[in-house]
Amino acid sequence: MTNQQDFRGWLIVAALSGAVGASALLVARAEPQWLNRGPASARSPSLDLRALMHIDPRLICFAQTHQFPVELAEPCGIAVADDGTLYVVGDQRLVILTTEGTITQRVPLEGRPTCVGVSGPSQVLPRRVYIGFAARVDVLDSSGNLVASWRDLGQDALVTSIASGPEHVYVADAANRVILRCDFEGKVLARLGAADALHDAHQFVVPSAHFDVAVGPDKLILVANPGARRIEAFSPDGTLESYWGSSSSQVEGFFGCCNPAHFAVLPDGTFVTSEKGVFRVKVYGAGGEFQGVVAGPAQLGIMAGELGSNESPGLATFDVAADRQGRVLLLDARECCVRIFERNRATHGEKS
Amino acid sequence: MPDDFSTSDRRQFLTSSLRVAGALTAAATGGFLAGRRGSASETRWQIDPNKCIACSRCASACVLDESAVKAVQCFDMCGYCDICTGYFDPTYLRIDTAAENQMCPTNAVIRTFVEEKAGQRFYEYTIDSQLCIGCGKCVKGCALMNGSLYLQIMHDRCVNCNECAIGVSCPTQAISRVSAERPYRAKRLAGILMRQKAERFNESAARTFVDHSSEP
Repeated sequence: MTNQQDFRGWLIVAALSGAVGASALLVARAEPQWLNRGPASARSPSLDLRALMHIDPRLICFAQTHQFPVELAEPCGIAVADDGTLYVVGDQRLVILTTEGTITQRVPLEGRPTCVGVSGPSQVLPRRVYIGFAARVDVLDSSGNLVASWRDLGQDALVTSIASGPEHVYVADAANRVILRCDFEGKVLARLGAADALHDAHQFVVPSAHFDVAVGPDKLILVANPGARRIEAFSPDGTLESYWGSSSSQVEGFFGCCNPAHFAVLPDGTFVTSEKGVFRVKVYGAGGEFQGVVAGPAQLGIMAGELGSNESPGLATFDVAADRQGRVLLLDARECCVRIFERNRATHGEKS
Repeated sequence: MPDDFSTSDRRQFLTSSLRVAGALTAAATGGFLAGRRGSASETRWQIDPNKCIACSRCASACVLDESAVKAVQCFDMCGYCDICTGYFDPTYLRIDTAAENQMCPTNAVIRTFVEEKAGQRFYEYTIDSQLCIGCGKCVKGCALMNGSLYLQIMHDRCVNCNECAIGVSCPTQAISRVSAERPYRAKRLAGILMRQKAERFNESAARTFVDHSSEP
């Protein structure tokens, strides 16, 4: 009798245990919200950046056609002239290359350059090369001879980009978060974005030393406002005409605190942007609509483990330029080379 | 016994007591400070932030239950950004402080609103060292942008083992001994900025930072 009762007891315990175990299994499989405070990856003590590496191959609308070295250890700026001549700065040197990548000239510079710009053939002073330094701009002729040095740009200026327009030269000063409108002698005529006690002046948000400026085909001044994750268009008198861009970790938007780091404008008004941190080069229509990707980290040979690296290339950015043929010229600061991308014919056909 | 003798003894006793207490306090303070800061010949373990890759081994390899490694912030390098990649998970759903949007597994990064300027909201990011486990996840995220966050061994926690267990497991040999008088190491850029501040503006906080930092 006692044995029978014991057996029944064990049976009940076994049945209950089975039921409880099965319930727990079902609950665990259902992954209810209270079990996880967030996605597993988000709460993990190690950061997984593989999601940022992945770019849908269908979005890639450009292909690399050329690559050539620039013979600089730390290249930082690229510009292309109307005839296709390339100007690359880095270390303490300007390197002039042909479209095919043959180096024709190496010009020593006084100090470490930060950026380079070149004027077009129809401008008042054609084929002038403007090289930015921490607080000055050197002007060279197309052969690399020093013509002028602009040193009166303001206190603690940090020149990060130079764009030549038909009537003025625009200099981006990241330290003071202003775009300087200069005449061809280097005299500062206006400061776009300067704090104004009387008027509610437009201001730029520049959290790091990446602040780019360009002149569009319609002669508007185009400025990357990195802290706002926008590209803004101003009339020559400094009036904000339009802007576009949004912040997102998705490929359509600009990543993180401050992007795009660099941008260029193709002859048809299309924008090419280069982002720091995630190494994405993308194209947007003239109105800012996302068109596709030129290259992502995988196309640039960057491994997932290198994203967020404390040293270069973690903090390196890739400057970008666009030539008259609509090609994208990317200065790969990691491999110290220029990569040329051309639009895929199929994609181009679809677009046109 | 006459009263004047009694008064004299009391005074003597009180004076002697104060002298002994003062000497003991001075000795205790001196000993404590010497123990805390160490002498020039003594050394402490420290991470070189320029070599650190924020691999998260600091969180688990330390002999202490709660690692002696903590994240620190160099505010002079920080952009006070609204979207901080050291705070928000790369796959954040919304720009707010909800736990699912935060990157830190222990919510140790504190986001505080500072001001609204030029149409943007600016925030200060500080580390709650009580919650920080030294995993370096925020450090790696921040390195995508400005790189103002970095890891340091905190000497109020470190027991200064003969052989640092984190140092043994560090894949980049970022941990080495530094002078106990300068037991912290700055990031290269942070060091430059702080030295400039100390020399040009004579800021006391910058001078303290420079005084306690070893050259990388």
